[in-house]
Amino acid sequence: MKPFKVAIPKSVEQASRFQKSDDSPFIAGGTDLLARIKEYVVQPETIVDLKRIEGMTGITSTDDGIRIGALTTMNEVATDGSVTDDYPALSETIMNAATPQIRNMATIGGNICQKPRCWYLRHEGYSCAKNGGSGCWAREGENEFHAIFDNQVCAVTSPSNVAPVLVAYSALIEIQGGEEKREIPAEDFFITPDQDPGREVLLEPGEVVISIHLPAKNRTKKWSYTEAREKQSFDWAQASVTMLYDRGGRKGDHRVVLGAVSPAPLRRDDLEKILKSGSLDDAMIKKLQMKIGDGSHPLSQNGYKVPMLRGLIAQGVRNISGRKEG
Amino acid sequence: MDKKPEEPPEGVSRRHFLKGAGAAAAAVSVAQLPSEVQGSNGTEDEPTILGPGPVPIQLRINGVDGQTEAAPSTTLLDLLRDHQGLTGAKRVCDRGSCGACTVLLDGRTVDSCSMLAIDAVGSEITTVEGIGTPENLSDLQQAFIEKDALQCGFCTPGMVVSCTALLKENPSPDREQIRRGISGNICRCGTYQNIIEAVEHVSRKGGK
Amino acid sequence: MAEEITIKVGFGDHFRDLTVRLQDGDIAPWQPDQQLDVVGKRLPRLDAVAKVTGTAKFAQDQNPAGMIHGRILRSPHPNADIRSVDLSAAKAMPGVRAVLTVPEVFEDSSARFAGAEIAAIAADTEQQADAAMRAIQVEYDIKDFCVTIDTSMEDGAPQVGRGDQKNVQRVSPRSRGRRRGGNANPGADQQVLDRMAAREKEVSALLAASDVVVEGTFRTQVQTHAPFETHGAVCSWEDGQLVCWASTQATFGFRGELTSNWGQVKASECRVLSEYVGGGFGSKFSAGREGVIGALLAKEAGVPVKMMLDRSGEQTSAGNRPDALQKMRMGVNKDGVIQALQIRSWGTPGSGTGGAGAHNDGIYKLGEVDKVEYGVRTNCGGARAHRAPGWPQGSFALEQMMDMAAHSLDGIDPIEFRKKNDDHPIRVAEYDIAKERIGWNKARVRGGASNICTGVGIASNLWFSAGGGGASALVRISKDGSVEIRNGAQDIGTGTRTVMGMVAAEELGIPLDMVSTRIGDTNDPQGPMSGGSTTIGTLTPAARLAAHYAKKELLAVVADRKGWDPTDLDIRKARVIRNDGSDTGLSFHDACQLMDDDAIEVLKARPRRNYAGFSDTNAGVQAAEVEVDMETGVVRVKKVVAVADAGKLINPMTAESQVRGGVIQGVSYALTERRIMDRHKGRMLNDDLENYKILGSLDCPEIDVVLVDVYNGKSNTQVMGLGEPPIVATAAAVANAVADAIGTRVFEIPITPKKVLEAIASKKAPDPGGKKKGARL
Repeated sequence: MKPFKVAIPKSVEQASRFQKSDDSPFIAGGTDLLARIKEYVVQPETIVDLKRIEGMTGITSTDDGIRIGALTTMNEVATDGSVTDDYPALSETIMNAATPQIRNMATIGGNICQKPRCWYLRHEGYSCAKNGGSGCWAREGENEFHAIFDNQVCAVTSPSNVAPVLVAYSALIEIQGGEEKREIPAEDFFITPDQDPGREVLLEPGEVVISIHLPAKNRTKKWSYTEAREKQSFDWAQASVTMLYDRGGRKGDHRVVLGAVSPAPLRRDDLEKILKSGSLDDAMIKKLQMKIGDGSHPLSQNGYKVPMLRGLIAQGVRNISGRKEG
Repeated sequence: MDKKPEEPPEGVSRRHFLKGAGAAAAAVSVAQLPSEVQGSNGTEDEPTILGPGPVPIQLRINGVDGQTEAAPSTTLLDLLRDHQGLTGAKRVCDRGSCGACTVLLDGRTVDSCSMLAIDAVGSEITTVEGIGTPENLSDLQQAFIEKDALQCGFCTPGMVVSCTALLKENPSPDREQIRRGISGNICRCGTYQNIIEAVEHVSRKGGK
Repeated sequence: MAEEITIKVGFGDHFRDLTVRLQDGDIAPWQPDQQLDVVGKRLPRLDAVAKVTGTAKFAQDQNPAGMIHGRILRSPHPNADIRSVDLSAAKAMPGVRAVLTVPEVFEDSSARFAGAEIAAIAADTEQQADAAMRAIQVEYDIKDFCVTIDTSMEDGAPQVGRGDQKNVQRVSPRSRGRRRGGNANPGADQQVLDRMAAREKEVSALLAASDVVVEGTFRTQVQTHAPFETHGAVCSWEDGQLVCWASTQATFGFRGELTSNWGQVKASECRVLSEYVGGGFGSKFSAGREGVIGALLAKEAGVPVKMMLDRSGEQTSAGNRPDALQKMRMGVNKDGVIQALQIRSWGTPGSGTGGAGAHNDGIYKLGEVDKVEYGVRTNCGGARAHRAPGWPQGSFALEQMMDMAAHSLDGIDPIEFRKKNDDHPIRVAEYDIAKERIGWNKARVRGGASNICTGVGIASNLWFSAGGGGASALVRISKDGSVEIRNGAQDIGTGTRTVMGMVAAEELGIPLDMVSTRIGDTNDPQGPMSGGSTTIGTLTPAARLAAHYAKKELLAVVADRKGWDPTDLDIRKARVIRNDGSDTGLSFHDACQLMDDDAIEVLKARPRRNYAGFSDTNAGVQAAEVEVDMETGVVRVKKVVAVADAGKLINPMTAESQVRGGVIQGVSYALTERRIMDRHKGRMLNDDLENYKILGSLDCPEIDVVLVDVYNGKSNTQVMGLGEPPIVATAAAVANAVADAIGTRVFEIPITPKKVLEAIASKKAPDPGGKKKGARL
């Protein structure tokens, strides 16, 4: 590892200003950035350590939901009573992610801003559309774990399995740049390579994610998060399906978001419409399964993700129909 | 598509100019982290800049306060092993995949390879050496021995730390909970079942 | 003078008498009716305390004063020749103390895999070493490459090797007149070709005459050893003597390489220290280039150098289990007897010339076998022995063929079919144990409303691990009553140290905690490498003999001082007793006090040969139960029953651990592990422990180990090793269980969700038409 300097800002404004002038990467939990530095995929002179900034941890109840500080660890989020009670899909997805150690270190802000796990992107010496070059090694290469949707420019998958759940809850991502704050819907926050191959999220230079807001109006007891992967202990999902049904008790307000199959969480309003059209029975499962592969462009080794998604959505429907009201 | 082998992308090259005073002040301030930094929240214009050379780092390890000099880019694992002589935690994957470097940070398990030592300033660090000694084994260590929950022994310190944390959080875990508790620790020799039995043994005896 | 004795050999209800002519000085094996106080007990390992407290110092943990850090620069190119290595910039970097290049030291200017060693440096800190390594300038002559068997076998494929080395080369039957690493002498080879043709004709005729023929093509992947402690050593020159704290499974072999006149180091004296070794699994027999590099850098720098591989270096350059492509045809008659087997197989030793074979023509009575095997070079890291080399790959193919054959014979149960074609004296009894404990006949879950299907599968294993000559042990009984046994071999986690101590304690008649053990130091008596599962079979007879003769000397002292008859004395439970069992009133400790000398020291070698014994081989049967999610393709192995024998069991607890470990590595091989090579740049993409997926706690099945205690009479301890046999059958049993569950077969490991989904989809697809006679699942 190449030694670097560590900048320790005392406030978000300071961090933001410093990073904007210097282009140094932010570090929070460190689990993502340090690995990339060790691989010489990035060689920063300075990193900006956000860990000492006050007021960015913890979960607080607000009038209209909860607000999760960006530096809150994954484990703290997953085990928080307000999350397990009101946003169980979020808790479930976190407990499926990574390892106990990583969940104790990684922050939720870092999780949604982490770089994709593409093994070309994380190996020194593969220049591609994502890191200043052009093209995509995976499209004609080893792509078993890569995207089947939106993969024409770059076939990475969104690595955060929290991200699809945030999209499903219509979470708002609170961002600060300098002294300015803004909120972006999660659905817009995660972007695809055709929008900008160099970025995975809508952060401008100097901007920091400071919190995540989960609106109370989208809570539901009818939810499901299903994923499949090769190994149950520490592995990345090959595909996931997040489903929220009758959000806020509003009949027909559903969300279906696919994860690990595209560069950004993939909301499927076509599937939501189908869900709206009938009851949660086998016929519904069939209809969803017929449709779920629409728009996919599987590569040479990842066509299996389509039948895998069919399986996961079937299980999702059964999960929801099996959950008791209230 | 560009398929020719090529040089790695250039690292970030824009230099951040350090004011001499800032750098000097930094070396002093880190010893007091985090209070110094938090205490001056918003009052200074510039972030504290540490490194890239060695800075004093004060850590509380196994109940003892100590100070050491290390580059701020030093991981907690390397600081423990190379500067403190605490070689129980092992460097195996060095990427947070295997858990062989697990230590407790304020009672919670972390992969010490994947965090900076300076981020542990102000926290209570417990390594396997702080859990028990050959003369004074913890109940769990004793159970590991009795249940043969180790083979080559390279993952064992990390496993002991993870299981200690697991039992502290949940003194009577079921098998599934134990499996989950050690799911961040890989054992290449294949001792999982014996480890599960060791944890169950301690749990039944009400030890820790 | 050879003494002839009659001993009982066998197990369970299967004992018989055997006359044995003892080799000079050897003693009789323990007998079934003999009361043993230490051997056969479940005792904790002697190094457990050090390991659970983190005080065990492995090579990686050694930090001698003044130590600096070594780094190896590796080729990013899979197939290149090194034109030049310019070290000038690196040498000028801060902290650099020593440099070397591979072309100079190893006289090898080719880089035939991405990860091949090019140059090395040592610097004061790891960061300085990293920086200097990256300042080394290398000019390569870059060539086209092949990183898979399939591409290497294509017509016109780029040449992997150099000179006249062909990519594909027959390795069995062996060519005649073959030059080392080269091709066959065409004239002499013709005889072999003629014999092969005759064999093929004969077996083809038998297949044609068989009632049923099944055929299949099987693929197994490259598995890396991934020991947790990487390869390497901390090397230090002290007064001209080289000291290496090495991570090795062959302390004496390591020393031999560094002192050899043919080697690169040529140390006149070398001491290798390996008290604790963080796993090996077959990859750590050699000092390797990293060991040589460490020694040379330390010599140049004049200070100790830590030269341990990083994880990427470990995954790419430190060995692997080669992959295999196996095509088989098996002919079986309606009575269930196998008539003939035809095998064509290809395997890759990587860029080297190591073995790539699949052991697929053993275990059962297979009738006439026509087997031709090819090695296929690829521009990948070289293969090394890996826990039962060749066997898990062979078993994966053969055992599925066995199931396919059983299914094609209507109504024959796969276990009954195996029994019909098996004459192993121990295994025939093991099938029923496995069958009962896995619940072979219980109803399978078959989807329905749930998406889960369950299945069970079975497979067998075989091994040869009674050990042989090549070990001595030193037992020292001191006047103060302390006892020490020493052997210079290493314990890589198998429990060798503990078993050696137990054998000595048993023979000396004292509890284990009165014996201290010293291992892993080449200044101590010669010991075996940890290989072939023969370590304890080789070592323990020496330990027992040394203890036996030390005890004899002690009793001679006692008899002399007390005026007793030495032939009437023995030691039991740390008391000196008479042959009738009565206590002499003298404790072991008091007996030691009677010595005039400070200590009794006995060094004994093991007899060179083994006796005929009950069985030359140890057997085993494994049964697996799996649960398959038919919708996502995810396979979970719920349970594995592992029935194993290992001769006389010294410590059933550590033996069980060996079996569990083998099974877990086998399940990992069956489900998740594989090396992934990039077709673009020929590099290993998963040279880590994140995407190289080793089974974790949530994936680990319940493992039910049943050990069969066999008095095999092959040596005075009758021990057989157990490191390798338990991995042989696991992947095959899992694959058979998956086929039972999903109703179709996955012919390739690892059995990932992708492959399961693809297999299920192809089953649902319309049958392209039965092309094989009687071939069914």
